[in-house]
Amino acid sequence: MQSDLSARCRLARELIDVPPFPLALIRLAVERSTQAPPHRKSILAIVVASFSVVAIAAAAEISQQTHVQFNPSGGLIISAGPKTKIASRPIHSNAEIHEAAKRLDFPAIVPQGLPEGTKPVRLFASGTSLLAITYDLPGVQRRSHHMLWISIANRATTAASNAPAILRHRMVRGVSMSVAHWGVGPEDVIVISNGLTDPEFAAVKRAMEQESRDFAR
Amino acid sequence: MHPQVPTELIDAARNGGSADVERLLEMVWPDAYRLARAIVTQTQSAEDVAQEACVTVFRSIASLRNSDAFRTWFYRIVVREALKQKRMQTSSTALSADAAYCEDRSALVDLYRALGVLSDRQRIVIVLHYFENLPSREIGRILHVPDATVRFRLMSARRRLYPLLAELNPSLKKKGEEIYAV
Repeated sequence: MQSDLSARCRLARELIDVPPFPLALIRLAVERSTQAPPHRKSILAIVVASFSVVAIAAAAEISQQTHVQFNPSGGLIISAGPKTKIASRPIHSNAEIHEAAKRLDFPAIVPQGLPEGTKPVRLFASGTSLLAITYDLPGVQRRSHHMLWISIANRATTAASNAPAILRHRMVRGVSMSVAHWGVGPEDVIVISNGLTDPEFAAVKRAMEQESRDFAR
Repeated sequence: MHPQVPTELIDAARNGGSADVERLLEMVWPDAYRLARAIVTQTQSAEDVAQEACVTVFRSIASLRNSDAFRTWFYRIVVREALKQKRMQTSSTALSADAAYCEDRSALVDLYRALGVLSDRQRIVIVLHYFENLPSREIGRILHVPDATVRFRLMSARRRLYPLLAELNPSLKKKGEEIYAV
């Protein structure tokens, strides 16, 4: 039995597909970490303390912001300040997405027009300005490319000015995968997938834009 | 480590050569990813863990006193990052996501399902011992625990794993062997 376990583990190790080495992302992360040394927090605290209560409240709001950056070699970098609440949980229905969307700080249009049989599996929220939903796409033809990530975010999250001064959370999604991104009203929709076909992608975009128009009326 | 990293490269990286650090990281990236994947089970989280570990290595390799200790030090960083990531995800999600990723690889699914019932401590020793082929003494150094503790964790992990693996794949059940609940 023990040798069987060894053999299984060896096999399992061999079967793990290793993604390409993300050198660009590592360089970026190292650069960012050297730009914001640890003592910066205390300096910032002293500066903030010298302002009025209103200024402190404004600074706190800034530190709670979420920033979205598109990685040049594919994927998405989500960074957030120290006070941003990060939540990630499994979900089983679209109703849970609608429920979470109500708590966002912008009128959200949730993903629609997905292929029949698509299952929502996970919900990730960064503060109140970004919701990322992981879907499991149907169809055996997709094989290992059946995960789909759709993020709906407040448009302000992609603005460079929104980058948190003190970085607490940094999440990278879909390294080396293509990212499609468009605006629906005050919302940015970001799709990371290499399993969605062009007509399926067009259907999602069309459905969300239609919903946005209906919402505006 | 697969393959063994040349000591000269570790020395060069410790001495501050940015290109050498990058070369070193590229060499250990598959190991970092595989170890992370076996601990956190989700592909995306494993990438994040391996990447964070690489960033930590990049920033702190200059402080590594002895090149011979690189492997232990490196594994310790990956394990720490993986545990950090695991705290952010629930075990039930990990299991379902993993099953979805590997639906055409039944051996992996069975093994990960079984590993999913282990505590983090048990899972890590199993992964380091059986996936990475490390002796218990070195695992002890990575986790900062005595050798005997590692062996005890391995034994208790195996005790929980065997019946589960046999249950998931009845062909593994030996003649006359009883499957008992854990």
